[in-house]
Amino acid sequence: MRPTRAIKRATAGTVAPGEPVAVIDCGTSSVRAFLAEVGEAGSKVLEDLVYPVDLTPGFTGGKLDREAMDGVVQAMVGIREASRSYGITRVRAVATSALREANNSDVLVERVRAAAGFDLEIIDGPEVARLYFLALRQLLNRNNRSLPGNTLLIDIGAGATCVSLLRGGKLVHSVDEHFGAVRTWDLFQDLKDSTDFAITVDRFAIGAARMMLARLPSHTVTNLLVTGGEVRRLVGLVGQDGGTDLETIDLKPLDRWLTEMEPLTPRKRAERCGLGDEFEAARLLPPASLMRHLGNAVEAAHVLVPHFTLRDGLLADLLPGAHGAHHLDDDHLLAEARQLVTRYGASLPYCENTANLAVQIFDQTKELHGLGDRERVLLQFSALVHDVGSFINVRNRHKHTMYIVQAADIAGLTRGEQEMVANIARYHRKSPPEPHHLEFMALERRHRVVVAYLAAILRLAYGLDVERSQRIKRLRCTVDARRLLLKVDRRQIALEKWSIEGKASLFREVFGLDVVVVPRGEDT
Amino acid sequence: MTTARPRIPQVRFIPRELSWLAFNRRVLEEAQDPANPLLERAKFLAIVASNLDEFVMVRLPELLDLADKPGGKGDTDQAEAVRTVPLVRRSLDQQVTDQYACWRAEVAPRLAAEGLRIVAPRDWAPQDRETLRKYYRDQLEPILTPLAVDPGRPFPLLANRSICVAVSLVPDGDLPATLESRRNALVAVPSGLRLIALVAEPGTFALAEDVVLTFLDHLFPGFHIVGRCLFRPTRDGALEIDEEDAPDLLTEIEQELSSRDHGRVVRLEVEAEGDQDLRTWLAERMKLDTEGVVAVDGPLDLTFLFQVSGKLPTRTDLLDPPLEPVSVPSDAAWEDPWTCIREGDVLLHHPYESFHRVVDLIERAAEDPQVLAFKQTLYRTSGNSPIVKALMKAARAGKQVTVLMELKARFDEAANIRWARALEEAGAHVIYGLVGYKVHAKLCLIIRRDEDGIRRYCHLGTGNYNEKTARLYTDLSLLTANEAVGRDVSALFNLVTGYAQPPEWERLAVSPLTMRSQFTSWIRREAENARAGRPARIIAKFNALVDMPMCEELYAASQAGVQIDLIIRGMCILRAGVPGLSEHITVRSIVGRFLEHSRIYFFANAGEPVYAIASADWMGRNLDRRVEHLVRIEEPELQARLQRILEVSLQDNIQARLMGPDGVYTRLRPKRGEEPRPSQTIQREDVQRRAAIPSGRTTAPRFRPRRKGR
Repeated sequence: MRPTRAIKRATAGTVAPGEPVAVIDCGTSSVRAFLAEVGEAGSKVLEDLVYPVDLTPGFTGGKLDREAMDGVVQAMVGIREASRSYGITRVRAVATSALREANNSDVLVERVRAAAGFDLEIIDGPEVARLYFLALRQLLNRNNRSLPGNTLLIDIGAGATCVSLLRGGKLVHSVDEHFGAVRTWDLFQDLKDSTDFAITVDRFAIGAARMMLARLPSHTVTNLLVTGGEVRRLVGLVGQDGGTDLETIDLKPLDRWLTEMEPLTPRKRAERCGLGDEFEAARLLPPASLMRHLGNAVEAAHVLVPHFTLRDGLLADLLPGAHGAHHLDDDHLLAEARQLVTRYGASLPYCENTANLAVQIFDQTKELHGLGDRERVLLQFSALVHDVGSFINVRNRHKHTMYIVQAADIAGLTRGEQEMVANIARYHRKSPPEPHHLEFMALERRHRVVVAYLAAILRLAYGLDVERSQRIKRLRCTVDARRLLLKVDRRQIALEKWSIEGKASLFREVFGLDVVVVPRGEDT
Repeated sequence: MTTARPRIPQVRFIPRELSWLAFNRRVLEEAQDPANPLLERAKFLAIVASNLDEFVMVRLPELLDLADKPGGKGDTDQAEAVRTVPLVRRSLDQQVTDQYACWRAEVAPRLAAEGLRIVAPRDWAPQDRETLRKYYRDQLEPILTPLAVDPGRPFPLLANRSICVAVSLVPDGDLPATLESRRNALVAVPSGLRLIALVAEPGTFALAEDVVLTFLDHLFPGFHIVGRCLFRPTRDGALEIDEEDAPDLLTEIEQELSSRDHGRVVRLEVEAEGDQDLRTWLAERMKLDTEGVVAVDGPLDLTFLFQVSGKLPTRTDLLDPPLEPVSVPSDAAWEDPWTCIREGDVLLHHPYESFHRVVDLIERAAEDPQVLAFKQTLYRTSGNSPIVKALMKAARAGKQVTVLMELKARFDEAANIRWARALEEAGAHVIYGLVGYKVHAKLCLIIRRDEDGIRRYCHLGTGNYNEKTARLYTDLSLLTANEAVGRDVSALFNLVTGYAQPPEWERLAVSPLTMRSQFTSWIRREAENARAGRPARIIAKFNALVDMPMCEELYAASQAGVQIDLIIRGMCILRAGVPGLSEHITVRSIVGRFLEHSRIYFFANAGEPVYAIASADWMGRNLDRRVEHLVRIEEPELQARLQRILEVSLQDNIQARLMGPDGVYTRLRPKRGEEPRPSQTIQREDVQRRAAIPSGRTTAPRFRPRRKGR
């Protein structure tokens, strides 16, 4: 057997036109892969591989058993073998909710790496949302269509549902919910032989729909798009599947279908659906109910069902010109931060000013830190949200800020970036990073350095407005031999000098400079 | 080994063993047909013998098991088998009688007249006798092992299908012999050279077993031989492999193969002139009743007749005229095979069109730097297979080569194990079939990086990757770069090699997943069309129909008014032309110079005809227990070619036999004023005509499906 060539991770900008790649989605009930050629305008799928697995044991912090892991490893080895036929060396393999939740997913990730050479990346909700958004954009472009107004794009998977809000052709917000076709069946399987099953699933779906919508910044929805394997199957059962890549389900027939299903036994339900498997039929109920309740809540008459999968998004993310994880422009990303500020009742003018001061320091000290545009926007984001923890309690508000940011649904930041932002915001006051701070130490080494740099800057900006009056709006930074001079636009700055003295230690530590605040009209 | 066997009520169905014997009878007819060249007749006799061996090794034990062991099978099946056994025995005996009558009365005398004569020991000239004695002493005796049988030495294990000699011995001092003083011994005749040339007269030969039988006295010094008998045991040839628990299928089959020679004896052939006491003794020791003992009036094992044409190398007049397969596409078009296939699918009709293009494609691909990978199924291949060699070369060159080698291909297991090992050593990834399923599909997938991207080139055949049998069997090959076919073939390999879930097939139907349902839905659609007065017709050409559900579907379609014409070379349990059951069904069998092996399926589909070629027959094993493929042919030009092949087969009035309502086949003959239409000759002429037309296009008219009531 000839040796296998090393597998590299495929990311935006790393794939040459015409290069074959593999994209893999390790989901709750299957491992799916596209082997494809990435062209200038689109991708050509060479093979569509599906391997059934069962990762339900991993739900809600459970452990994946050996059999579940073996299934995934076997699938990955199969995909690797198929990939070799096409000389594929670039692969992006992602896993979603089941691995996110399993508390031993590291073991599986390592087994996959050892057996197949793939770097299995466990992606979070926002990244899932982004990939679905890319798949949708690709589909719309292909069909010369656009979706004006607010669009809700909902993927109902086996283990989780990902809800994305699109506005003006951009993904502006996303949330994910522990509601999935297999997960819901799993939760209520004790009732599966009873007529209570369908009713209970439906009531559970009401709660899930409300929860999803409550987390969205806007409830006015122009278009409701729902995707997922079961959803696609429902198209044919409730209406007529025209075989196009954008079908419609009218909600009235869906409602009738659900009512018809409620009293049936599992066997009868399977027969009515034309399925040999009772489990397959039962799995249709959670997505159908969720669609019904989401549709009712947003007063939609129908839902659109686009035909794509997460893998289409993974492929779209590799096309020439793809933005990768940073798909949102800075304005949209910062709009997310402002939504957080508003939601948690912080003062937006104060936060905006702090962010403004932080950016001025960042821009004028580039020679010191050498950081780029992405770090600049991360600082801006952190500065905007630094005070949201006050919502919980003013005491230890910096710590509250950290976990709020960590847990929030933020489109446009990678999981790593969200952790960085949470840490930068956390270190705006009180203790600087310490080795016993677990969240800080869990960051990659490079990220720890960036957090320290940006937190040091944020602390100065924060220190310049302890009065919370936005008195200081502009400043100029100069560096002399051992000092950073912050020349501000106010003359009376005794409070700020006092404040900065207490906040500058981190800056001194990471940049080796003392910080001196200089009032307007005074030379040093 | 007992295998599941469907219940076959005789009224609606013909017992499949009898149907099989009827097919062999049609082969025997070819040997009996004086219109066939003499050496071809001898070859047909050899084929009959070889077929009967296989029948006795495989089908007869299954039937006997079922008749003897009702447990688990249901009484009706057992009763059916009990009824069938004597019919099979009678048919078998009659066939052997007729086979040897043909040999003695026709083929042997005519061969003698043409200068090839097998001389019995009593007719050996003194000079030959001396030469043979010397040959025996120098060449044979050193490798003979006399095996005495007495209470201290049990009956030895004799190799399956080996010719042996039994002798009855009496100590020299005990003459005249008494029953008590007799001892028996056995000697196996060495396999190998069967025909030994005699020197007194050119073209005369002695049989090796006659030489051993005549001179073996020296093996038993101190004894006098008072009885001699040549015999040949045939054993149950099924392998019993527990695939589920086999840690290594390769090793398991290897071990099991060595035990094939240990199976129970199911038939004992003895020479008619052999010692009667020895025959009885042998039957007793092999636990056979009288029905299991077959006395043959002539040489045992007529498969040696495969060799006779080699003994008359200059007598091509005694053979069919040689067939020079036509090379299509033309050499010019084939200069770049990739472009040629890209420009349009290629359908080859073997053996009239050369299989060499298929071999050449694989050989070229092995050396083509643009080729990334091969995936290939191998069921039966030749002893010196250029395809396997090309795959090994490709693997050594660093291409990814995946070979799905079916180790369980009956009687080819040993050869396949050798190839599997060689391929693995070359670096190929060899997969030894599937647990519970034989991989019978004939597929080759070549993945190539063309200038405009990666493309899949596929070969889908109805026959094996065996360039030698491709000169003797009629088969079809499709070479295509069609994307949908490529996706399907890739998916099939992934399914088999990597346990991936099957996709929604685009152009293929696959056993054991969708083939049966696909055929069923096509047949039912024809029935629906017939009922609605729309055009409806089914024409299918394949090798065996023994699946009862498929027969029931055909009966139902016939009753709905669908005209169904089946061209089935071998077994067929369906009764054709029975009023009220199958009056719209015809069944014909073509047996000729080439073994009819292609599988073509046509469904009129109300004017949008479906044409398909497949690796599968309509047998339960093909539809449910094997991995098989069917590919729909959608290109009009290729559809026209398939249509023509079917049309010519249906019009055959020379080599075709038509089944009557009683299940008996009647050979067709040209009616008065009718042109003789031997299908194999016409197929060959068609191919030659096509090759002469630059475009190679045909303009054959479409079938006219019959409407109900017309």
